[in-house]
Amino acid sequence: VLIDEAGKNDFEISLLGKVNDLVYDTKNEYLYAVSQKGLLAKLNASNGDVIWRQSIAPETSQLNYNPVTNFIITVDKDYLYIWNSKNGILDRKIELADGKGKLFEVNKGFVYLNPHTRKFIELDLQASFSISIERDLQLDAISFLTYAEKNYVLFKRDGQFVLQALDHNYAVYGPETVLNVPENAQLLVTEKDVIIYSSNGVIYGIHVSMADISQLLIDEYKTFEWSSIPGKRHGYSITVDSQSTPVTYLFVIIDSEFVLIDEYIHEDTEALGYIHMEDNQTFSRVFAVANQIKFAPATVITIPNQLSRPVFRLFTFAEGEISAIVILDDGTFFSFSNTELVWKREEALAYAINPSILPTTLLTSYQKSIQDEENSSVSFLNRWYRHFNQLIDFLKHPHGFTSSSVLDDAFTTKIIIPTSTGSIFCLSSDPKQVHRILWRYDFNINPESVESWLLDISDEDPKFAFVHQWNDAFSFYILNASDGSVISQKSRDFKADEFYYVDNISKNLPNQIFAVKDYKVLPLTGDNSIFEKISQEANSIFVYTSETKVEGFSISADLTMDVQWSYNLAEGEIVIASIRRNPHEIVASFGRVLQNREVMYKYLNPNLFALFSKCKNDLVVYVMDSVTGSIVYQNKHQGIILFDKVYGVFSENWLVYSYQSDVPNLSTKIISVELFEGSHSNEKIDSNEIYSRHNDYRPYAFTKAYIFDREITTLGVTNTPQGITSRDVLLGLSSNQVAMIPQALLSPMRPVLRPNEKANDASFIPYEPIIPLNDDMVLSYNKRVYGVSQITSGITNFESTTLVLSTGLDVFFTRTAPSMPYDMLSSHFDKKQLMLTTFGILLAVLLTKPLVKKKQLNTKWYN
Amino acid sequence: MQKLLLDPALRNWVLLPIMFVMILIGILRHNATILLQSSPKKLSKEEIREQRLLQRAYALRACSNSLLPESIEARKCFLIESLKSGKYLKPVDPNAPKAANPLMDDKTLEGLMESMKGNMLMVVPQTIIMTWINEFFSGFILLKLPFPLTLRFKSIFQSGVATQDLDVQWVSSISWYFLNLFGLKSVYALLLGENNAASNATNEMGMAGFSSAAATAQLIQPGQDISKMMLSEAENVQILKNESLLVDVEKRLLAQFA
Repeated sequence: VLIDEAGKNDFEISLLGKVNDLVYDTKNEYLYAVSQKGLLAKLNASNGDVIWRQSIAPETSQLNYNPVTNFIITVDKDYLYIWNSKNGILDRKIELADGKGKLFEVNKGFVYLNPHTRKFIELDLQASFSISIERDLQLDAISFLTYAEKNYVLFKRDGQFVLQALDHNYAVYGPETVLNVPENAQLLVTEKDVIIYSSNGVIYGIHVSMADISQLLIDEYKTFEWSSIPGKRHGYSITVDSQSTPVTYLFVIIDSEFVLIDEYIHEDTEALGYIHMEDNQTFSRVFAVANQIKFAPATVITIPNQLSRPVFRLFTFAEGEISAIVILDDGTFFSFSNTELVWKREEALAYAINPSILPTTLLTSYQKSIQDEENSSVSFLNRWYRHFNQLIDFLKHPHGFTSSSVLDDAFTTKIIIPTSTGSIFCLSSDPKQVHRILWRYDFNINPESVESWLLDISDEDPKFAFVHQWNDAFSFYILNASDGSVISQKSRDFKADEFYYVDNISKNLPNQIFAVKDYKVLPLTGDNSIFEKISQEANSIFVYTSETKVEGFSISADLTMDVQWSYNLAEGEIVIASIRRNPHEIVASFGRVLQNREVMYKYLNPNLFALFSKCKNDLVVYVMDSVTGSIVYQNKHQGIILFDKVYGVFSENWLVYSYQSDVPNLSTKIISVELFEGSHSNEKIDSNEIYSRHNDYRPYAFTKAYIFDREITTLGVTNTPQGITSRDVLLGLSSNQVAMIPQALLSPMRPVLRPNEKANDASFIPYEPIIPLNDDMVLSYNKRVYGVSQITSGITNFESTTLVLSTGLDVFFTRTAPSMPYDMLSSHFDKKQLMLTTFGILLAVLLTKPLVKKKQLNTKWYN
Repeated sequence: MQKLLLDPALRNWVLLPIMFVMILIGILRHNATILLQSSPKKLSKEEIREQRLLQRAYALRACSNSLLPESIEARKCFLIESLKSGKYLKPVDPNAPKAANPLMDDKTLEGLMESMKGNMLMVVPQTIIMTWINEFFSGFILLKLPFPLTLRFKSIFQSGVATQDLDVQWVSSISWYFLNLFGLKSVYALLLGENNAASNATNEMGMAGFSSAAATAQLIQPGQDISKMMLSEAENVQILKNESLLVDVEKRLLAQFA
């Protein structure tokens, strides 16, 4: 992307996913969160904005933060990380021997204890730097505890649990206390100053200050859950499952004794928390159900929760502006101050699946005026009149020097994003829009699979169809894409094998969607009469793919699958993916012109699709004709490392796919395949043959392989209304970037030249095995776009420009011009320089005019 | 048939500014042409006198039929005597070289200089403007021509456009430059009057700005002997017939009413 275009035509929604753990810095009004998507983030507690984010291991479920220092500690199975909480910079990364250790909070920081070794890592955190010291402990420690500015270590000796006091250098100091704990006891909690264990189905507690006494807490339990309540007074809540009903007990420590404060029997789905009230030294009970947060003194907060989703997490705070934070099971993040909703984060967008970009529409009056103009018999005069009026408007409004309203409206459209949590979002593509979510509706709770299609892409009334499917049922919906209203809904109590989209634009019929179950066709849109028309079409062949077989079928009159051809994969071969061309694609030219003015004719068969399969460690690639079932191209690649990281795009007559392999070395490979009608230029076949059921023509395939120096997470392709602009390949990278490779770099017709050989065909770039990633190829410039797993492109009114949407975790939207913006004023057009040049010439004319008059007058004296 | 929607800003910031700049450049070239012309050299009194005598002889031969026969006879006698006697000739400079080389004459060199100035005023602005348009307005599609062009025009008329599949009917700013170069003659005539320097774009000689002073200077060709010209003119005047329209004019007028 060009430097002066960065940040002007794009937006990004920074998301976290479902938040697992949260820490509230009440002094500075910040929130620190870790999410299931593997992000550590700092949020502004006043408005929920992301200040910084870092990528961590997805299994990290807890963060440790001490507000006295400025560091956050996260631990995964391989490393311990210390982050600077101000700016998110990784301060220290400590390698762990194995992943079985545990982090303990001690008097002045944290300690990481590796069990069954006599070593531990002391983390000394200061205000501006951190120190990590590996120390030697002469004991086989189980855990660390701390109380009253003293540190203790718990270890086992001769079948007995012993508590040993330590000095400030973690050396053995002072007396040891033998705990009155049975040998077969199961330690449940050893945290700070509390030891909780279970023996014979009974839960006991030990406080460090009176370590020789075990106190009975709960006499019967099945499950155990534990949390400590933040505040100056120590409170602990224990939730057990008693007689199949969860019960929560609240204990406080008074004079080294556990005192039961509160006992609460849960309802069906509830999240419970306690707040320590400083004024009257009591604890207030807070619990959240799907639609409400209830505080003990009969205070109720309403959660805007359409489908009554279960509450995933409830955080309650006694201090600071925020009183409660609720996280639903789809990740939606609510922040409440007292009883009011302060801000909300739509984290369900992090689970986007198969988003769609609606076609852009110009101003209705503008478009209609052009249409009327063309239909008129005096269209020439009307065109002049329109341009004259526009010019008058341009001169009247000074803002016209900086922006163009027609140009801005030409790229404004809606983005429909279904999520795997069962929601449908509609976003505006206007970068200037602050409240980007136009509407959101929830339809189901966590369906197992989601598929969606744009049904009707006419400007007046676009329709959007999607299906939610479970193990034993599916629901199919058609929405009005403008406002999200439901047009129709169908539910069935079985799981369909596959859903098909029928593109009927060329037949002047509405587009259709049908499902297939046990070789039966189930129409989901329209009525059966339309499907009878479809079944009469000779080329209406649909591809049914199972793990080991590919079948082409047509729809018979009684709505059953009529298998026309079948292809069984080889023994041990399994289908990975199937890629089809964009059905709305328009091809601008049917040939590629060479330097000598001859034409290589493209093999433009709309019935082609690509199939990727796995055979042991090999990747097998097929390009097949869905009408005849013949294989027009086949290739095999060895040494594939990750078969779930094979991506491909199919467009016009070319296929580009990528995989990772260790042949010849470990790297990302990009393969480009292009199909032509002949092996040489000016060879052309009869086009009618391609579309028939008896087409057995084998096109010629040109193939080139490239090495790419990044790991690819997804592939996409640009799209324009008429296909004149070159179709470039869009990439999602593991370096959290969205990039675009020009089609010219991937062309399989790039000549392979010997050293010092001159290229005799200027149409193609000479072959280089490595595709570089230049800075101007990165569409997301210096932004971090986390979790790019799907790239969608959309058409605009301008032929040169494509809309690009990246989803997967973050939502990133931009627009790009693969062949340069040739139909609009580019962003680097220097208007000031143009005006200066024009005024300079005008000044020269005005200055020379009196000189010319004087000279002409002098000349007359010689007559 | 490819239909493209062009940004209206292309009309406001590319199409019209190029036309405006082309008009200004034409006017500037006209002014520069006039300013670059040399001032006519001041002729001495004797040189003007001898030229005027020759002009009077030419005028008599052209318009003598409007005079009375006596007037014609009187002028013939005076002119024949003056031309033959040579009393109005410029005094001969004794130091002037005989049979001067025509190529070394000041007037010849002056004429060549004028031609070269004219050529320069055509070539230099065209080069500068073409470079400016290529650098400043490259990459835009400005026009759709009503007739198709072949593929060989693509590299010229679609310079800066990076796609291969665009029809050659859509052309870039360089085409608009050429259209303005050859199409603005009427505009120049409207703004600057006839015989302006801007509209003589295809005049290879560059002899723009023709004026009567130049005509006077060119009357005497370099290297010609003016005394021989006077003797030749005397003979022409001598053979002049005394035909006058005023003879029998009353009779011819009355004959119209007979």
